[in-house]
Amino acid sequence: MAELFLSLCPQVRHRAVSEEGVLVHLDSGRILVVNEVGLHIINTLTEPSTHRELIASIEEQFDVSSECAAIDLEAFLAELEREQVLIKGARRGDPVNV
Amino acid sequence: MNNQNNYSWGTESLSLSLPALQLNLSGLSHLQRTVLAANYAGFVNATTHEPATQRVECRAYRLCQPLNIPTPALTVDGQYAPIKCRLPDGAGVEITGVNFKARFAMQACLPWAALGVFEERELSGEMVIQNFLRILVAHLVPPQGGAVLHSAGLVFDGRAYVFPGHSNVGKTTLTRKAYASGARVLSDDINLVLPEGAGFSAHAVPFTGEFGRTLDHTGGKASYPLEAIVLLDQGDRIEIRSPSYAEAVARLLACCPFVNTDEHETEIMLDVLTTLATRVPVIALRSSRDDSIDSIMAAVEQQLETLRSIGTLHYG
Repeated sequence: MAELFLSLCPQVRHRAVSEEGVLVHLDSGRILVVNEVGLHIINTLTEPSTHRELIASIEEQFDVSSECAAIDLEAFLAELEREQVLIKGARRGDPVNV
Repeated sequence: MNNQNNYSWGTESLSLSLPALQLNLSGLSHLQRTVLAANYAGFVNATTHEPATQRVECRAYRLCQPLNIPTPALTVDGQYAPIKCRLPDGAGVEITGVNFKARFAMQACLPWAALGVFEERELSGEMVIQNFLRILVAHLVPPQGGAVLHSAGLVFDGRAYVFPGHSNVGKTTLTRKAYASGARVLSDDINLVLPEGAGFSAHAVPFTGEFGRTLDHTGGKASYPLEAIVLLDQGDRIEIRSPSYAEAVARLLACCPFVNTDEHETEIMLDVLTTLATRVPVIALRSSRDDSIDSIMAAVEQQLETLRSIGTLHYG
């Protein structure tokens, strides 16, 4: 089965502010603050990425184990999904709303 | 909006000078002009405000039929929220509110606006003219580096403190306590901050919430140096802390009505607010309804003094 690509909803704007990030969801009006790791994930998600790519990117950037990165990533992605910030697409460049 | 002249209420006009905005209203009836001139006495034909003032020509016109918009369509999370959409050119904005429809384009070579109502008296009513002005100013000031904040604005000893917070967090309660203790009230609901020198200033605007109007809201044109921004939360007792830079920006953005979730405005608002938070101290206050204004302001001043002493009064 092909790996699922994740990316940011096009209705979301974000800005790095110091080491953290501010996210604005233009549809829901929700405004969120994410920490340094969250900001890194958000920046990565501006291009469709797989779980595996995201974990590798966190490992590389923050010098943490793959297991630790996977746990943090799942929790963060679940939060993004609750906030409807995330979209899941079948392939790069062709996102599909979930 | 074609052949607007055919739908004018009359031939009278009125010029309102607000901070950053000179609004030249035309197409008014005698009644509309008279009521507006009385309600905004100190802002009529007043000396142009500093800093840079944008002149906007606005034509009043009559709607062909009542709007009859159901209340739920104008409400978000229990709060009044006019419907906003972009005109096809992307630069203009159309607003539909309770009893009015308005259009404006602030970034045009000649900024223009139009304000339509069905009943003659509606135009000068607070639900129409004040909401229209709030929205207009909120869109006008970001390019000037300013912001309209959903907040209480209070002046103590000539220095302004702005307390942003969501509805029902206690802005009007705080305002009443401050006013009773002798503070000057800029507004208990909507305040305008503009860059001035190395900092920002808070300006008297004719916008109020439940607190109602004082002299500043009909005739004030003063501005005051902005000493601090105090993010408001409810709690059981006074607690004060310094939020992270990102939290400060996020919470300020959440308190920028009309523009904070507009894709055409989000980037510039983030620019404005990241700058604001580096030039004006931002602290977060949790307090209860029963806390006195003296104890609240003592806690604010103490936190500012602590930040000053350790050199972290500003972000960045």
